[in-house]
Amino acid sequence: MASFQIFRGSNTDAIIFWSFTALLVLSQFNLPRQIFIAQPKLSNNHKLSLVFALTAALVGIPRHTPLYGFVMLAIGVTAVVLNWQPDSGAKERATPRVSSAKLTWAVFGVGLCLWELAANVLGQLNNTLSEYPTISVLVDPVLDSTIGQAAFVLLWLLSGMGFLRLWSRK
Amino acid sequence: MTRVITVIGYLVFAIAGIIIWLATQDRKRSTASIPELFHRILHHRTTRIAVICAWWWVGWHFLVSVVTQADF
Repeated sequence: MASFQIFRGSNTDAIIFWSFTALLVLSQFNLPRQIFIAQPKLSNNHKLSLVFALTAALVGIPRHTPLYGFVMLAIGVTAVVLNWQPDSGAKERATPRVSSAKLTWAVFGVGLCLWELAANVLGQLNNTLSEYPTISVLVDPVLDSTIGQAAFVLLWLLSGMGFLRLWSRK
Repeated sequence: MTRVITVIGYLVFAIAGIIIWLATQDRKRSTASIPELFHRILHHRTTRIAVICAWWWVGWHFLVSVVTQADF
């Protein structure tokens, strides 16, 4: 995945993916075992306020600037640090329903990635973005508008909190 | 023509994703819903970190990375 980013001509993404790999290796080797002894707690109202403040910042700051990148980096580092706590208790056995869901979404995800990959490779070979558009080529014009960008940022932040089940934590 | 086919492909995936999501809402179904699935897989720190990385990269890719736009 990281090496593919070099083929895409994006060395920054290659560095990011190698960093992801390093993080996963560190986590697997339990280094460090935990960062916070007591996990910081925020009420749902505080979390919602934080989401709106970040949305305002990410819409107000011009895209593709170093400051924007710095804010995004800060969000990523914070998310990793706050989720570095060790596994809690024994692992539950996967039920057939969960196994079925894993397989279903894995097939879906791999299929979508292959479609996107094919569009990217064919687009690069064809030397055009219009004939084989990737998702980012299609979405980027929407993000150039303030409303589109605000909607995307809000959905992105809320989905992140949803994925990490932050709403349910008291 | 290839552009239309490529975009239709994305739409098919989007519709399929919504159908799967709706179909798995019912607890009587043989496939777990997304919250149930995440409850199970986020138990492990490494999986949790991988999910954060994937989520964060989506934001980075769309908001920070420069996409060279074609003239349509």
